[in-house]
Amino acid sequence: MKSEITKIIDVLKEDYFLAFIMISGLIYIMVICLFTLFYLVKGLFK
Amino acid sequence: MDRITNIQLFTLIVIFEVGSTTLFAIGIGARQDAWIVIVVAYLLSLALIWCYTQFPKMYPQKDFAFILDDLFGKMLARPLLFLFGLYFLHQALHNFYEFGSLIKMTALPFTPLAVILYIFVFVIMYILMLGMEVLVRSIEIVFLYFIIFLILIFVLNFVAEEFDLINLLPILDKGFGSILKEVPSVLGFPFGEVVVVLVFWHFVQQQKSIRKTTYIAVTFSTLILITSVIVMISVLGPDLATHMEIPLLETLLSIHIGMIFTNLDSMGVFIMFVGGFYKTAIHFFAFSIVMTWMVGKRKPNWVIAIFGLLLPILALFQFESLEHQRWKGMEAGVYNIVVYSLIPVFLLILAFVKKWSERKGKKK
Repeated sequence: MKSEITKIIDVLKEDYFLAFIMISGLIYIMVICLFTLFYLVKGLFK
Repeated sequence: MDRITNIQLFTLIVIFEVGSTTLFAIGIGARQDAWIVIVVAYLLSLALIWCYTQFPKMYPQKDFAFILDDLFGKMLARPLLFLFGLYFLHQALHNFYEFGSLIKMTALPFTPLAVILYIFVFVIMYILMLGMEVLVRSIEIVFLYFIIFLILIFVLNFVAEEFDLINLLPILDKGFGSILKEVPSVLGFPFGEVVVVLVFWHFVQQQKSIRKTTYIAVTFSTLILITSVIVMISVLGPDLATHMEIPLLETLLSIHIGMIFTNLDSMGVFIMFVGGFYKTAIHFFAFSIVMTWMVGKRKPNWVIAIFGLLLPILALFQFESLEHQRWKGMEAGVYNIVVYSLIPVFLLILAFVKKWSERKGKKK
């Protein structure tokens, strides 16, 4: 029984378009989190 | 600028949500408890919708590009906008290929798929080039027939001999584990797909009632989805419903009432065509609008024309067969939807923190 992550990776290996969209989306979530952290720190030290 | 009313927004969301989902027995991984999966995913989706509908409250009458620019600045907002555009294109390709294949399979078996896809896309291009108002007005016209046909299918199934509610028992025989395993994919498809309406919020006339209308539309869609899954499982049983390619069509073919109501698959084909058509059109229109914002133009017609003609070619390149498309969609595509449906949630948190930080700065 394959795990969910293995199944996703199998598809992403074959579909580069989907892989690009999905990985970029995840990276952007991290960027948004960094921005949130930046404003949080900025607000706290004002 | 084009404007849409609340009723039009309601029909748009319902057609979009129900669009392709009646074809699948969604959440069927949990077998006869699939309807519980839908209920749980619906409850979680209420939080998602709250986040999506918070944007027009914070930025009334502003489009999604403006909101992103305000949060990030143009340098970082444009790539995200581009990614959303690609995501909408990807979804449009999925729906487009799937419905083209289903139409070929059920109604036009001797017609090449490329011909079906091109006829399909010409109509989509024509409607979209006329603008948002025409798109939603056409949905308004078809909506009534769509719902009447669906209800008719449900009622006929209820009175058919094959319908047996015993198939829904035992409830929770494998516990909550199987349900929780299925929830993320159902949360993505169809509930998370509502993320597309972020691109259309600025078209809505009465911005104040967006949240109420969206909640009502999603609740109505959920009731249809639950009924649809219950009908599929009651008629086919959980085993057959899991393995059938188009369970709804199979339930329709099983209806024989007094040998008068038989061969009702034409109603299924109508529902499939309408659902697939608008789901593709809405995703493709969102892609066109986003790309237009990217280059700072006002009318999306050039994007619709260029990418519309390319859409069948891209779809045929992307997928080898319906099984291939479903494999990609079900194994990874749904998680991609989850990623993009969660981005606005993070954006909203950023918007709150940014406003709080600015307010604190002003006080001092």
